[in-house]
Amino acid sequence: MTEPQDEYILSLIKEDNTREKGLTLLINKYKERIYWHIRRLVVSHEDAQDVMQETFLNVYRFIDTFGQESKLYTWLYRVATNECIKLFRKRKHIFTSYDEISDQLINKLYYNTADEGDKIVVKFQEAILRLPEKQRFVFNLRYYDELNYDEISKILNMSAGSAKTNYHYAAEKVKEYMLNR
Amino acid sequence: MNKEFDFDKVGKRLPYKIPGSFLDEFTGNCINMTKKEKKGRSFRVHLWKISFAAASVVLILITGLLLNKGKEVPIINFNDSIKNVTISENTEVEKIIRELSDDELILLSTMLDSDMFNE
Repeated sequence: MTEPQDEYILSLIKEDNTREKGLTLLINKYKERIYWHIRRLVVSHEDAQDVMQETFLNVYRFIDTFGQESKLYTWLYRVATNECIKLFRKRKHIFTSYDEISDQLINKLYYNTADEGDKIVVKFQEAILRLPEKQRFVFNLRYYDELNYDEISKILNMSAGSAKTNYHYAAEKVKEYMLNR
Repeated sequence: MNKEFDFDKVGKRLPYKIPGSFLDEFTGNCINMTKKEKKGRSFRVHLWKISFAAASVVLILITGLLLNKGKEVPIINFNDSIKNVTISENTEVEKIIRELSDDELILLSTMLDSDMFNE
C-alpha cells in the first residue's frame, strides 16, 4: 500500500471532521521512524515511550503552527528532539553534568542489551553515547536517518556548516573509540 | 599504521528491541489521549468563561462601591414616613380587620398564604 502524501495528511488535519483521520495517518506513517530516533537518544524503551507520546501530543496541539516552510518529517524530528532535550534537562536537576547523564545512558544501554550477543553493535552505541550532546544528536540524524545538513540544521536550530563540522568530529571520535578501546 | 574503522561492520544495526506490540497499539492509544485532551481543553475553556464572568461581576460590584464611596447615603426618617400614611377607616372590610385579634389575624394570613386559588 502506498503511503499517503504529507499534503493530503495536513489537509485532513486542518478540517475538524477529518482531523482524527489525518492524525491517524500521520502517526502511522512516521511512528516507527520517530520511535527509533527517540530510542537512540534516550536508550530505554520506557523513556522512549513517554517521549514518543508527548511528541505526538505536541504534534496534535501545535500542528496549526507548522508553516510548511520545512518538510513535515523535519518538523516531527524537531518536536521529538526537543522532547528528548527536555527529558535530559529534567535529569540535569538530578545529575550535575552532561557526563553523568551520558554515564547513566551507557548504564541503561548495557542493562537493556544484556541478552544481545552482538558486542560490536553495543560498543558502537556506547561510542555514540560518549559524544558531547550536540555531536551525538547530529551523528544520529546523519548516520542513521541519513538526513542532509540543511534538514539537521533546521531540527537542531544550528547552521548547516555547524552541523557538518559536528558530524565530522563525531565520526572521528566514534572511529577512534572503536579502534582503540 | 593508520588503521581505519569500517562503519559497514556495524551498519545501521541497533542493539535494542521494541517490546511487544507497542508500535501497533501506539496509534490507537495516542488518538485516545488526544480525545481526552480535547475534552479537558473544552472543560478548561468553559471553566475559564465562568471564572471570567464571576470576575466581571465582582469587578462591577467593587467599581460601584468605589464610585459611591464619597457620596452620602440618604437616611430615611421612618417616623415621617409613618406620619404620611393615611389609614382609611371607611370600608367594611377594614372595620372587620380592625376588630380581629392578633391570633385571628395570623390565622387569616396563613389561610390566605395557603389558598391555592389566591394568586
